[in-house]
Amino acid sequence: MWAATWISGPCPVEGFGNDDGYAVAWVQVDDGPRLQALVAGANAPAPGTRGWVNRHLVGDESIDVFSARVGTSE
Amino acid sequence: MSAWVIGAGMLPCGRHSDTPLHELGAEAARLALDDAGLPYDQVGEVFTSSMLAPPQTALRVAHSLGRTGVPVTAIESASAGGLVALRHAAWAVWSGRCETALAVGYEKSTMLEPGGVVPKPRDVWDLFPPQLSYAIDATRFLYEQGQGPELFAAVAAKSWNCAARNELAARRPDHEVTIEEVLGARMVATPLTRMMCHASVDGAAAVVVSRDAVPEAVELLAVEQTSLVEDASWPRVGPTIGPPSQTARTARRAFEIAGIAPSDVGIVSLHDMCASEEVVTLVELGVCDADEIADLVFSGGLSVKGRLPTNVDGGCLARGHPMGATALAQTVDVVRQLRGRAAARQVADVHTGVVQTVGGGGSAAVAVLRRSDV
Repeated sequence: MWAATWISGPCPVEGFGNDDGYAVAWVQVDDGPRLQALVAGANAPAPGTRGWVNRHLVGDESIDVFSARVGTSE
Repeated sequence: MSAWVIGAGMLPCGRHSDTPLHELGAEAARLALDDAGLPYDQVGEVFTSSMLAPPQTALRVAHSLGRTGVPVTAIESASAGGLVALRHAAWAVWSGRCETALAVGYEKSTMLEPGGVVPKPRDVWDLFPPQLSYAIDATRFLYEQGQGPELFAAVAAKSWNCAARNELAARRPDHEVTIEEVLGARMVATPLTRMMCHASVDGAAAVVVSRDAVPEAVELLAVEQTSLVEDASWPRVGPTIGPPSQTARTARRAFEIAGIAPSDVGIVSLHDMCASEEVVTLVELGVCDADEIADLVFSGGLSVKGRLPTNVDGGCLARGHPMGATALAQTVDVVRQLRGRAAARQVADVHTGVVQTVGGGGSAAVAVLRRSDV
């Protein structure tokens, strides 16, 4: 994960973050383009945190979701 | 052929609820024409910029100034629109198409003008706040530089304190703003607090460009504009601007055409939707190295008396951000600085200035201006 931010306020997509806010990250997957992803969980991981990306359906659209592997960083 | 800025004017940023949008534009144009000492019937072409204006507002602005029959062209390029309009005005003169052209920007963003345009969300990411990409980029910048959010707080405090001495600014604090105060403001998106984010305001600004120099004219050496360039490091989702590399590319072209080096620049006015953008953009413009930016910020180097005065009108953070008018408001301030007419905010012995902007969707522009007696 390249970097993430914690945004104050409700997440526009249900089921992410908590009452205070939610996190969005830019994720580097191998040599591909950097992805923008919602972060699973209730914090913004530090740059370098490793994890995986899944697709999540929002109505007719799908967005990327980053899940951090606990205790990992660059 | 040369192009000279011979007139510049703007209205105070803030709320202009009772004034129709076209009258805001026309009033700014009148100020610029008065400054140039030129009647409207001497203007050969008009270029306008707004992001939210109802259709045909450009013509209403021009018709408020007079019915001279000159071509009027409306431009929409989000926050970058003002410099795009200036570029068209400059080329109308450079090409020999006319002797004098007018660039006008106007916006009402505190209360939409009836008939105004607000883009509807097209996909999920359009529902997220526009500070998102700035905040993520800012987080990485701090990580790579080994810095904390104090870096951006210091930039914001500088801009707020400059605005206190700018009668045209929307946010004018009655006290010295400190780093602690900025850090203590409500968090928007880490590491950016509310005081590190722009103020959406109403406003209007205008610039008169002429083929002929007059006393106090400022030469427009270059105005370069780009659209998105391929950059795999910058996710293209949501209402984002283009990558920092786009500003670097645009600036390189502008400096080359202007025939100057970044080290010649004495004042910078740049697009600072968030305080972090000021830091990142200074590096991308080539006027400061990434490893020296923290020293520059914390030593007061970006203030009026600093080594590289930047956004000394308060920037989008505190002067305010009237979107389609913003880049022309930036230009107006740099022109005043180069003329030595910035009063309490005057930068000493400044001869060359840069105006930089980016717009949502991926537009970027950089202008280089120089005092006429250099």
